[in-house]
Amino acid sequence: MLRFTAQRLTHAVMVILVVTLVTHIGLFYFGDPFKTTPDEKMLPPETQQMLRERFGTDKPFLARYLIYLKNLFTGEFGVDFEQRRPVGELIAHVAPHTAGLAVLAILISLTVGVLAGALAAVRPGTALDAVITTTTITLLCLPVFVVALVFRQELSGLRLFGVELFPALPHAFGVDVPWLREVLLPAITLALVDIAFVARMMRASMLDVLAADYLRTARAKGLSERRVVLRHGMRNAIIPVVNHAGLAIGALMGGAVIVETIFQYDGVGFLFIKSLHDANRPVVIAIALLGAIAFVLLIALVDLISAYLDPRIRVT
Amino acid sequence: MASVDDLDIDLDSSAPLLEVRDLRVHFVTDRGVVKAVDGVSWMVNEGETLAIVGESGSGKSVSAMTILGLIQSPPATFPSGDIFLRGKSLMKMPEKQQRKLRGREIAMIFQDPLTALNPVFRVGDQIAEMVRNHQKVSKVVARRRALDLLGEVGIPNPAVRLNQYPHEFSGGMRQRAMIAMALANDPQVLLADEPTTALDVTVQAQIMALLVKLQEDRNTAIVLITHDLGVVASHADRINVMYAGRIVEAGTTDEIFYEPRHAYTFGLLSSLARMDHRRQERLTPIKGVPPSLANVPPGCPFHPRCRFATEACVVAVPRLETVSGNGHLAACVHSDQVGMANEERLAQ
Amino acid sequence: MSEAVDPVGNGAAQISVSQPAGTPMIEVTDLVKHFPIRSGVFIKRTIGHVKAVDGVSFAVHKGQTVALVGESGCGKSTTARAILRLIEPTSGRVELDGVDVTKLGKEKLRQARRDMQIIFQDPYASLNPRMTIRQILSEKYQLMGVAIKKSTISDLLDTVGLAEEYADRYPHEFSGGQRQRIGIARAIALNPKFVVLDEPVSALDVSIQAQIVNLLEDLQDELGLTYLFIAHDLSVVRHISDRVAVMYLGGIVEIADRDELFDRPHHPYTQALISAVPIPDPKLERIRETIVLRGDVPNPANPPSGCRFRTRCWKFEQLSEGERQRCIDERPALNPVSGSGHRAACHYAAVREVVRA
Repeated sequence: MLRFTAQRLTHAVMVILVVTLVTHIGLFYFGDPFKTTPDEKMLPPETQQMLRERFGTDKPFLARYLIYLKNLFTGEFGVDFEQRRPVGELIAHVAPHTAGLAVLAILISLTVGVLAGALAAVRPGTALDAVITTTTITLLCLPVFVVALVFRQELSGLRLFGVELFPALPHAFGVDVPWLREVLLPAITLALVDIAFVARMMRASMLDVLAADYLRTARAKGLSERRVVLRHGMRNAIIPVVNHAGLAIGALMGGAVIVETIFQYDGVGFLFIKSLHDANRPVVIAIALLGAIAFVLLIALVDLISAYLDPRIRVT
Repeated sequence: MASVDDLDIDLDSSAPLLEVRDLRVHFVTDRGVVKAVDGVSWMVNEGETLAIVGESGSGKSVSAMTILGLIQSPPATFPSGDIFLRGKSLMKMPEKQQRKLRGREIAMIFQDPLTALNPVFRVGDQIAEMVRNHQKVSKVVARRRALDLLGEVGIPNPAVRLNQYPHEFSGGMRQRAMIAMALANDPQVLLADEPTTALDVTVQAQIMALLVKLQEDRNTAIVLITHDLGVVASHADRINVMYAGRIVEAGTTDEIFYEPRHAYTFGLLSSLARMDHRRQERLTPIKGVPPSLANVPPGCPFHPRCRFATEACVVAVPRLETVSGNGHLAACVHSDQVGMANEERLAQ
Repeated sequence: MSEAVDPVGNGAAQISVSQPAGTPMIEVTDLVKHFPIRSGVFIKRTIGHVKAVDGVSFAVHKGQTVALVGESGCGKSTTARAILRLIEPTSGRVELDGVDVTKLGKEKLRQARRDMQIIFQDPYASLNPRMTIRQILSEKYQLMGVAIKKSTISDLLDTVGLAEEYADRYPHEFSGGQRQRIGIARAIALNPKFVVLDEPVSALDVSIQAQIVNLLEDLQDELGLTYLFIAHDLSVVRHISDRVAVMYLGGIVEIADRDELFDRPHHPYTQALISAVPIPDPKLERIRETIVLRGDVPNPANPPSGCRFRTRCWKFEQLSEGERQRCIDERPALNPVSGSGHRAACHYAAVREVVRA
């Protein structure tokens, strides 16, 4: 396991280096990144000069690249065009919101999806199975932006027994909504489509596992059916689902941008869209780069979890 | 050491160790009723090895799995029959009690040890689970027992192997690990479903030698389910020959091999290529194919392929009757003719 | 090196299969197949080789059957596939009726393939489930540009004992034995000269095996086929083969005419192998002794030095210190041990009766 971890992390670091290299070349080779075009807001010349110094634009390639990397590590991305704030701070302010949203969405989709899929597999051909299967197919067909728009339209400000479940949008001025209430509806929206994938995958995987020889052996040992299915069965069935999670991360990131924007949820995705709209180039580039790095690291994490769950993967 | 007393199931020690009586296992499918096992009776006692011989679709595996309650019902139904462990009915026992016996009084090893072991758990843990499921011992004690068992079945470096996963074992070692697991609670009966079919012949010899030794040490009854007549010749005390869900002949090993009295047994023995014979010109196959269990021929299920078949064979299902000695049974109308044909064959 | 050159008159004491002079149908010389093992954290380098086939030589004469026997990992299947160039050999020569097929270019190889065919072990996996039997068989003719007459397919099916109406069904509608017949039909469709049979009956029920074995022999007589029979079931091997080569860990350890090998084996592995095969004869089994080998087959990426079998060899235990050293240092060559083409790769080869004792 250790050897596998070392290998996998080394791979991840290599990929990240390549990404940063490509970004760097793209930024600094094709002109001056701090000189703004007529469409963009102007950076005052002193600011431009300060930035050039900070990024060592006059230095040779390798030194410049290393400075760039160092800046990356310390969160130095230059200054945004809109308000001349440090980009790093801007992102750091909203990143936790997105992280929270993503984690909650994953938790919801995994819990609900795994349970639904397992239930459908243990009772195949029943009404429950039919309901789960049809629901998941329907969910798969719904694009995330449609779901988000509909939910925002119908469900925000929803009151149940006098309690407001989901905060009304747009936020009333001056009202401070606690984070947990604010994130709930966006998280559910984001999780919804993935629930369908997870449930279907879990169902298929579980059906395979239930027919496996080692379950028969487990029963022959005299283990209770519950233990056979939960311990021996689920543990194997969940492996393809974890593998799928790697793919889902990409969809999640894209989905987060849409969901945050529609719900006006103050996260990295929303910032990204706003910055695109405002032609705020440094922010856009920084978010894109950080997004790529996060993606690589998350995929590596998923791989490590997979290898932990399935010892056969460790033999590379 | 597991003790029968704390099972609180009273067993009759004068009754045969394991007895199957008129067992029928039918599956309801959209092709019709599949009669996997159709009226099978046999018994086995401690220290004995009973072989159940048959080809695919003979019902031999299903009958063994029914003993351990491994056949899911539905879709299986049990129109008749019962299974007795020392006189106590297993099929009438509540599921909870049956589970206490599974892996404890009766244990089973399966054909393909790679798929029969859970790939994500360590081998030592899987064996320890078997121990802890039936004995109230701590994890440490259970692991210790697993270690001892691995050594007893001849796995070198057991301490290292204990922490490895099934895919890190070779085929022969995996089967040894399965045997270790099956014996963890000192069962009285071991059901072995094609234990060596997936193994190389030298490994097969090792595994069969191991089973023999373990049987001598523990006086276990072994029910050996296989299609390999060579293995049966060298390791079985008694043999049941199954065809299309029924026992067509039963007897001691010598009786079955030297005095077959059912046309199928005779046909099977005649069709074998022999390593100890100089070359025959042609082999003598049994014509046709084994029947689908959803569509068993009327009367004697073997009659469409039988060279001795007459009208009498189609009319009614032949009953198992004594043909010679004590306990040599055959369900064949023409058992005498088979006997004569066999004499001729042996004379050659 | 050729097995064809055997002095006439040798081994007159017992019946030997005649070794006709002239070009053998298949002649394999020093066939080698190594699979590279790649490992590394970032850049994969080749750190070693799995020596699946490590210098195999033998010949098969026209109309004969030579069996390659051995256990898993011995290299028999790899050898067969390398002969047909389904796997590219690392080195060595394979001559089909005098022509070296290892040197042929793509087009010539395709034409040569018409003469060398293979029948696979698993009748369930070797037929495309989406094609009807007619399509499967017709494809053969189409690939080689041979015209199909109206009766071609039905005649072919008839040859293997299948009724004409089966032609338009799909593989899953057939039993294992019938599918194997289809596989055989496919192999002989274009009248090949040489057929590799890779465990053709292992996956079949016992009562069907005899049918298929008879069919294979009949076809061999009718069509003058040459067979290379890969198997681990020694009983069938004894029935169908003319000559037998025993493989262990990538090399041939003994090769002899059929009866000679079974009645008078000389190599300790052959002896252990034969003794391990149970015979369906209880009285015989009771008096027979089984030589039980210790341990597992060594890793083919890292075989033992000298004689590869020494780590499990029962005879090694009985040797003196000096004799053992020879086994450790020197890889034994396939040397003649008794007349008429019987060779064994053992420094201390001696006959031992294992079938009846």
